[in-house]
Amino acid sequence: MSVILEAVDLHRHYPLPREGIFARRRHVSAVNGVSFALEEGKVLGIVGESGSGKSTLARLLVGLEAPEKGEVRFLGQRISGLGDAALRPVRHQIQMVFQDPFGSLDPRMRVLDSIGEPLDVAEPGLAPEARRERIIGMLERVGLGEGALTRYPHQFSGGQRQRIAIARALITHPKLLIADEPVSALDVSVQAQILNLLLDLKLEFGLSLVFISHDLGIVRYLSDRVIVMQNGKIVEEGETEALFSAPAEAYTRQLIAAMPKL
Amino acid sequence: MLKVTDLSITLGSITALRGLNFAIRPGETLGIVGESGSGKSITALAIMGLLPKVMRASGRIELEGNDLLALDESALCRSRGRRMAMIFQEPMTALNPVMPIGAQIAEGLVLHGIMSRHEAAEEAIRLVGRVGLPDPAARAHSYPHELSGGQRQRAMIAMAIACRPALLIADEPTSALDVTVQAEILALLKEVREETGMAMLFISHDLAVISKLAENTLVLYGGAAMEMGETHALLAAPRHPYTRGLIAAIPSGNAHNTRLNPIRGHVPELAKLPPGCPFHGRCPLGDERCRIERPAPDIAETTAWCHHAGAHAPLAPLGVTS
Amino acid sequence: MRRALSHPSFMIGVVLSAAILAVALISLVWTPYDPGQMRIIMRLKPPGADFWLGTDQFGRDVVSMLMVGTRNALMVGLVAVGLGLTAGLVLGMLAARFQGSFLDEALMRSLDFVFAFPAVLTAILILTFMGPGLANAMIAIGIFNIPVFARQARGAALQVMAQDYVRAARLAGCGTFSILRRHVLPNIAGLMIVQASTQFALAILAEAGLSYLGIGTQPPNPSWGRMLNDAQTFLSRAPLLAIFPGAAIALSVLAFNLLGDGLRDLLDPRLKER
Repeated sequence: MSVILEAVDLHRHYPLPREGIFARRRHVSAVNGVSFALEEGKVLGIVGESGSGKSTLARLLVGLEAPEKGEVRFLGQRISGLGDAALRPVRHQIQMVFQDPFGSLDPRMRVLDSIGEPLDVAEPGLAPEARRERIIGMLERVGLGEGALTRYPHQFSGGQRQRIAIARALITHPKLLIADEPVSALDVSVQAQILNLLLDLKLEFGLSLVFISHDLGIVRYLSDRVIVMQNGKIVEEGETEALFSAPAEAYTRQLIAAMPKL
Repeated sequence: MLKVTDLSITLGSITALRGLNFAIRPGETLGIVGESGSGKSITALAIMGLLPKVMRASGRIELEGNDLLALDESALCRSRGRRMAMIFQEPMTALNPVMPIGAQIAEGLVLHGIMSRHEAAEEAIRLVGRVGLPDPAARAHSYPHELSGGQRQRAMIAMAIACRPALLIADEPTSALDVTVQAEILALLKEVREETGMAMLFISHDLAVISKLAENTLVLYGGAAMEMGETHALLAAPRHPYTRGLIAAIPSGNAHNTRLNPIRGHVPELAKLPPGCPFHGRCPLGDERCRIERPAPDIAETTAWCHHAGAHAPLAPLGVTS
Repeated sequence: MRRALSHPSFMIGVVLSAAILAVALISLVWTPYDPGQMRIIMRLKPPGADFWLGTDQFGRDVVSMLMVGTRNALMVGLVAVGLGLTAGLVLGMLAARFQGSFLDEALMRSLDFVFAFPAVLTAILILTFMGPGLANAMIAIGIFNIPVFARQARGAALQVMAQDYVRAARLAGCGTFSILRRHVLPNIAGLMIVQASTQFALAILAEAGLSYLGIGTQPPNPSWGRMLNDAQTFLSRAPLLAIFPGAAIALSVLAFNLLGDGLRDLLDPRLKER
């Protein structure tokens, strides 16, 4: 098994608002020395509470933000700290699904153009008919029909919008998908559908997946390996079942104990 | 304590809630579980008399024998806060940002004429301590933005229980909180309920959270009751296909060995519901009769509003819905 | 659409603005008399059958002058707001894209500097440098419109750029300018249109003010502001001469403000539900 994604000692700090003009700027660290490796075709779950730095980590991994220290490697190649232009060749291989399906699609863009946007950048020469075919194929793959093409995001339910967002992320056949709380804004009965869809697509497209969530049950369901984060650091890492059945760290045990069970 | 009879809520031609019936005894908690559009939050607003003006409520809501729907606004104001109180999902928007929390807790006590201003201020400090905030005398002077999410929810609870209401309505009070904080808040609510003997209506989308607190559970979908009964019975042997689907949709274990079995389709818009059972269309057992005819309650271990509840032996909670 | 029709102040704004626009357009092809023609024997006539709103101190027809003045006022509004809007949008969106950078700081501070002076004073200052005249007045008013639009564009663009769909577009590989054009601009356009109609009203007011001071529209071109100034001398003999242009200014400012308020209500996504 080869390593597809590697994080090496990642650090990211945010400046706090200055308390006065002459006060020294203070920083809060969001990600503080995070390292891990993801093997191709596997699912890595990252679990943590608010303020654990898991969403910042997601943005570092896809290159939306640059780390102050450390680096992100994709297939052995450094991708962190590159500009948008230098990143473009690998962009379509790493995609992301966001938490809020009401914020991740441009409200003024038709579904056709939303899904088509990454395609236009990755394959600018694509004929309109072929482009349309590809988009319809992807829409059907995520369980929506051709009728969705000319409609706008607000005409869909949350679960349907998340399907559109997934179609958009997968249209360029990426190798790696980062999902940041992709189901926490959805109704319970729809969550399971989206989780299963992600699993099916992972197999079909040979995706590797980083799955970020605050919900331990969902992370356990989906992941091969799990990382537990707290205050920007990795508290514990391990194979999913081993970690859940015999957590080594007190914080992990506390999280598992607090999780409401039926 | 609280008795709701045939409560319906309409918005123009849309029915947001269809003929709901339930009762809560003192010291008891009823959990209402439902997804978006199920009518769970509107039910809470209707009881508090806070429905938007465009909505119409019919039926009876009796609190300690008074029909709240028949009361006028001023009478309702007197019982709101005093006899019933509510806590919300996002305490930051429910608290006044420019007023110290102690003053906000005391306000209700003074407003309802229970205490003098001075006594109320002291009582507020006691309450701040009671809900588990450290150093209550100092904390009472804090503003909402100086508290963490969990602490703000504690302050909200202090405010809600200040006048010793007979009924506390909690609408998704822990949904915005981290799991560890959620566990603390649930424990606090349990303690407070036992101490004051108040009745509680606990609303959530999360069956697991409800099972921590509620003796009885009501499952809502599309504005109608699906199933109601003693929480343990309902979770152990759900009789309605929707309840079974809801339980089956909660992950437990890993996909390698137990694949989830989701309910198909998506939560429909209220305007597009069939005249019969709202779950028709997503239900694996649904037939023509379900589409046309509202199911009557089928009473056994639990009450299920389903034409097929009696016909099928209860499946195991994690079983596949055929 | 139904919401628009049932919004009374918006509808009043639409009808008034349309009427004002119609008057301006008609004045291009027809006015009752030549607005510049002087008839000394007919001076200071009260309103009547020949001259509907009377004549001024040179015997010019007030209706014709008001009509051409309307055209001038609208042109000033259009050019000044167009200038302010275009420059403000570009600067505001750039500042937002490079938020926190030197460019952003420099832009916003220099706009603060322009903002710090009262608008009309700025315009007077500019006009003393460039010389009086309608064209320069339009530019001057346009310049003090820039910071208004730039600030609003920057704020709105920052809000849009914090949305996940902009992040998603970056991940799709879209460049800065394609994101600004495809995602940011369409999503802040509504807000800018609302601001534009408010600024339009202010521009008309500013032109009237500058012309009143004699540094705006120059004779023989009629202007509401100058008519007001001229009428001042004859206030006791012919008070109506001041009232008509005053009413024209007040009415058009009201019209475009109502239009702006109505648009804001109608375009507000929070109110869009039903």
